[in-house]
Amino acid sequence: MSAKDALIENPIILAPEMAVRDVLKLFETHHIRMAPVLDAENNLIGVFGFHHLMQDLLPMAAQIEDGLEDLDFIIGGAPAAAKRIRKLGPKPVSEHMDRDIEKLLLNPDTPLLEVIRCITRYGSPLPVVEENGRKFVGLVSEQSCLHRLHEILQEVEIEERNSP
Amino acid sequence: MHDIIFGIPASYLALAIMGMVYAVIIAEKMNQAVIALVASSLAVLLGLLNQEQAIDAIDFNTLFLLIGMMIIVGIMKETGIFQYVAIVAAKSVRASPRGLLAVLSLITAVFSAFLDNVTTVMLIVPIVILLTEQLKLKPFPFLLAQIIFSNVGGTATLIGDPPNILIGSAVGLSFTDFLFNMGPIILIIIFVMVGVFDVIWGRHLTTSMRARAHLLRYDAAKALKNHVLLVKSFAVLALVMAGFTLGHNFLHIETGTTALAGAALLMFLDGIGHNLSEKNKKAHAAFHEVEWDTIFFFLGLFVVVASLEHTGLLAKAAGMITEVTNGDFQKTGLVILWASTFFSAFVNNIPFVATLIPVIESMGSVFGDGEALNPLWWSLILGACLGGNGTLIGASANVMVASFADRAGHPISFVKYIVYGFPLTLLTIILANIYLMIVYF
Repeated sequence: MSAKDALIENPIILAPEMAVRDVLKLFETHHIRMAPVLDAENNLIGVFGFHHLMQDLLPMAAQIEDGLEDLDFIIGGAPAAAKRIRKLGPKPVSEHMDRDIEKLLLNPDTPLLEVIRCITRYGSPLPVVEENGRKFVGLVSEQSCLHRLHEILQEVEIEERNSP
Repeated sequence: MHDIIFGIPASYLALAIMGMVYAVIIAEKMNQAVIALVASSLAVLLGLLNQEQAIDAIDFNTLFLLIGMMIIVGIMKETGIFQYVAIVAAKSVRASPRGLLAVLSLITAVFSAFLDNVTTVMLIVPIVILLTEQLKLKPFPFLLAQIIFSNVGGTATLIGDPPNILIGSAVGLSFTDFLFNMGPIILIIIFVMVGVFDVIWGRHLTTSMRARAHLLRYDAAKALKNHVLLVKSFAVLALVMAGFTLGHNFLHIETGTTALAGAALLMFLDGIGHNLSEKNKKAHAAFHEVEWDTIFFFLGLFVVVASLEHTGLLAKAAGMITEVTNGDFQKTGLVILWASTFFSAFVNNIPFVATLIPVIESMGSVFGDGEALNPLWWSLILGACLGGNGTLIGASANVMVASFADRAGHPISFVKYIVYGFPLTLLTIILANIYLMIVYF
């Protein structure tokens, strides 16, 4: 059992030049939280989701490494964050996606247990790319893994019933 | 020690080892602590020193002082007190950009007099980035001020900057000696620099009333995280300061002992009211605050410098310097001031200062021992600490601020820094020069 057995093969994908505003609409329509960003050759170049959007709404001082750890002293900061959404709207998604994706990458042959470990650590869904390079294959998610595990459970139960 | 090792004079070997340390530090190809440790291991393995002599060379008072203060500050920063002070200060000037540049500079100067400079900028720069973003101001003058004032403030006290700790410990200069001798000139430099920053940048800064109003709504009290710990920290800090001054002057307690005892007391107090597992976790976190690479960098350097000293080379170097200056005390002092300025503008000043300590000590034969040499120590301190402002790589605090600027999307280039930083450094050194001539020479 490996990542390819729990694969979502035709997920919603994003092009780097899509506007953030349109991406958010797409997320709402399809009830998803995150999507891979692919170049013209189907190579994965980044991922973008609500999580990345939220990060960009913070002041720079809280976004950076070793930056501010608490913002509870900022009273009335919400309108500024709202304005930032307005500013982000027309920007291409490539400017706001997470490019540091090396650690997120899974291969079709990554064992299912390792897939589950990665999901518990880095969140869901995670992108699956071909062994060599960044050619995009699909996504694995908490649901797709669970679904696969249920199937396995049924197989196990049938096996147990049939064995004397 | 043998004079000849493997057919090579010991003095050449010692010099080669020190040269290797410098070369690696300048080339930035290896961690500084690792090269210092490699070099000191070589010095002992090649027989320049035996282990006993190497251990004798390590100034544990310096190491204890560094470790103690690192632990105390590490625990204290959890309280949020530093952010609190910065926010209160920003509000006290009604969030005017001009006032903000001045108060943030002053805060950094004061903090870095009592904390290590890198720690100070790590605590204050994120707030600086937040406030400038809020007021839609270019952060450059503010970040430049953080660098300049952290190095200036650090010069004022025994614990403000590692060269001071090194010299204070080696020569026996006390906390109060530093405060009385370096305090006045640093105060003068701070006020002059605040004025210069205001003329060049401060008076031209503008922002909207709306942005200011927003900043004025900040609730500084919310930045304070742990009130109980805050009280404990201040109590311990007060004791440590009393130890540095009264304890040192009247009870002859060494500063290393005071700092380490303070750290022990604060760790003990921090654990009260928690179960053993939490206590262990807290202690573990506190020890984690010690920058062990810095400690081992010092440790290695002590041994390398001692191996040079044992060969008699440093005494020779002292002889050469006094020859050049014709044994003139004032000339010698000013040569030390300017040479250490230019040197520490480009290279880590700690190995330089560590090497110069035995050199200046052996000038005692010309100028008299003990307190007679003090003006030379003040020259070295002013040059080494203020010289760190000369370039973007002159001091660790500079590098730290530059890295923050980079991350926040406002990089400071080496050249842009020199254009402003170098003339400002020269100004501080000229002021120091005048002060030294009036007061000591």
